[in-house]
Amino acid sequence: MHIRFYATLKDIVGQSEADVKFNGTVCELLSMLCKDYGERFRSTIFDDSGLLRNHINLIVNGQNIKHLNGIQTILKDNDVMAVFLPIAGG
Amino acid sequence: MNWIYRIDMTKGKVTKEAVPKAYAGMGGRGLTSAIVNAEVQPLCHPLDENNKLVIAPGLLGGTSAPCSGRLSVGAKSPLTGGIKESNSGGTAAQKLARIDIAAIVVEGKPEKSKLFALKVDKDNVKLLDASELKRLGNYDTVTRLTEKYGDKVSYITIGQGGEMLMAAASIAVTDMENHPTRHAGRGGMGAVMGSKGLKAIIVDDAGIDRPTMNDPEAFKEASRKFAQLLAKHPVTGETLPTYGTNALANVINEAGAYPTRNFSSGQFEGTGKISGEIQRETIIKRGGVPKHPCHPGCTIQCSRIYMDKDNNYLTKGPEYETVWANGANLGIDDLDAIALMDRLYDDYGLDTIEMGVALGVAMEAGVKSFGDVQGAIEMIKEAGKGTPLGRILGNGAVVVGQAFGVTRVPVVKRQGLPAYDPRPIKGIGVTYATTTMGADHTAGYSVAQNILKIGGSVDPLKPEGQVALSRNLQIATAAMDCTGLCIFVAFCVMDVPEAMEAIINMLNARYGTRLTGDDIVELGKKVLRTERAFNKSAGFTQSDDRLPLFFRTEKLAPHNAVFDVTDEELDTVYNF
Repeated sequence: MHIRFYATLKDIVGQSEADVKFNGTVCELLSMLCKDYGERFRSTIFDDSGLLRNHINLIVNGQNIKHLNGIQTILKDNDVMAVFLPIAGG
Repeated sequence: MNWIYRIDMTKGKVTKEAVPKAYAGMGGRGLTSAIVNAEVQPLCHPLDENNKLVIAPGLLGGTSAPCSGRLSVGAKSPLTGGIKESNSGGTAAQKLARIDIAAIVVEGKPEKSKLFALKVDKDNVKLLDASELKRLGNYDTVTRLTEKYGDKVSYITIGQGGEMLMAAASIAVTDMENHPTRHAGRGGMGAVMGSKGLKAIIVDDAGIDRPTMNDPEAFKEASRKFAQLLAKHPVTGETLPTYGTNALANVINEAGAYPTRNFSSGQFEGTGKISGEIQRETIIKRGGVPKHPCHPGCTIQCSRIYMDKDNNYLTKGPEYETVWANGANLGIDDLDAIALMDRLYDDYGLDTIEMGVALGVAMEAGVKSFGDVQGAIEMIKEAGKGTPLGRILGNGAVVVGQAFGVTRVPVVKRQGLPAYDPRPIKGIGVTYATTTMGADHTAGYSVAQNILKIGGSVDPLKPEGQVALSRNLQIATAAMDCTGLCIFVAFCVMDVPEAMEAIINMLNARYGTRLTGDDIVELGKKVLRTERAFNKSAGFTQSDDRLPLFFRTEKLAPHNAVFDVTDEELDTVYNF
């Protein structure tokens, strides 16, 4: 599957896009990414209780996981996930 | 703020009156809409002597409240034919408030060839001849005025668009660098100012202190608290200052809601080249300013200064809406070209959104091709010159559609849609359809809950919950627009209840009132009812509260979504 990192996250992970071989849930993918990208990535995405931080938006194939199955959303090989830190504008 | 100045352009007379009881407690949008509704004949032609241009700072204007520099401009709109309030940043609102001015009401109409400037200072408000400024752009106008009045004052000006009475004409307000970059853009307020023969307003607050507080200590505390909360919130404290408004481009594109090539697709393949991230990199590389306030006291600082390829000043921002309207909407992925277009629009005094939408319709007609950078720039220059094609473009998307026989014209109440497709973001579709302003994202920014997940979460692809969401946001926004606070504070206010408390505390400390949260809600409802009443008298009906039919019939990729909030549901938005 394909992952896109935006704004400050791009600097944290050192790349704007990544291709990974993965089948599983969003939660499992994030755990894997935390191992790959280290503590700064983990603490940016998760709070001290291990919950996804407020306003972190994970958009899978154009839909926020909040309207799919949350972090239990199952990802497939061809999926595209975009990861956003709190963001707004107008 | 205690005084209303009436500028009678027919007689060339200025009169000063105390704010009448009917308008007491109103500021910003609340005051402009109250005056327009009470004093403008709803069926008048927007460019005739019966229309009035009302300029008002917000209730917190002139104080040290963070982000309190919005200036409201109201009139009957030449674009929509309904009531209009368009607000702008820049430095003028704070100065007007310090001079104790609640509103300037420009009335009547002079002889056709006359052109005036209005000089406002602590001692006088007077009309001056401004014929030497005729047909100058905003940049040259400000340069000329600065030679005479200096760079410590604020300038509110119109460019060629306003003088040529174009329905897309804006009113410019100078920023902290004395550039005319902040605009009351929407709805043709520049044309109303032009129809009054008023080229510029010079606002000089020399010799005046900040307004007196009823309770200075309480104000200071509430203001400090509010600033802290804004700084702590991840959006108002981090994202907006770092990436500016254009931070949105990628997320709206990923959500499949970034209108592309005249609303024919929801994703633009060139977004990466025009995003907030690349904009920041470009600005830093060229020695521009990546974080910048548009007025003193703005703590969010989402503005920026953009340099050209030779590292010379080109323009501000450009902002998300401008980048979209003249980027993805036209199939253009050249950020420098978009910045140049922004500069041209600012100079001519034209709304970057309406013009971008108009250009998109023109490209759909084949006047130029999508992606044709030079073609887009040429069309903008035609508008600045006032050629026949330029006048068609400068009168907005509807006129372009009529002139060239285009059926897909994305407007509501004749105003072009902003940068969010209403099919995959249905909440903003409800706002576009029902706001008194014509398609206006700022009137009830449902994108926050639909996409950004700020202040709650409502599934953007489902019709359920969108009407209630939009209704509540429209009420809250109408109230906020009375204060003069920038709409971006709402990202914090929607998440943090103490931020709303701080705003109420600032208002109470300023005026000695005992407002509660319920009073603020009532204020918002009152503003909307006032505007709705005007529009009804101007001939608007329920059928005006609709999106163009193609949004219900043409599926938008990638979600293949249509707008499916029913008409019956839309008609309940004002059930309050």
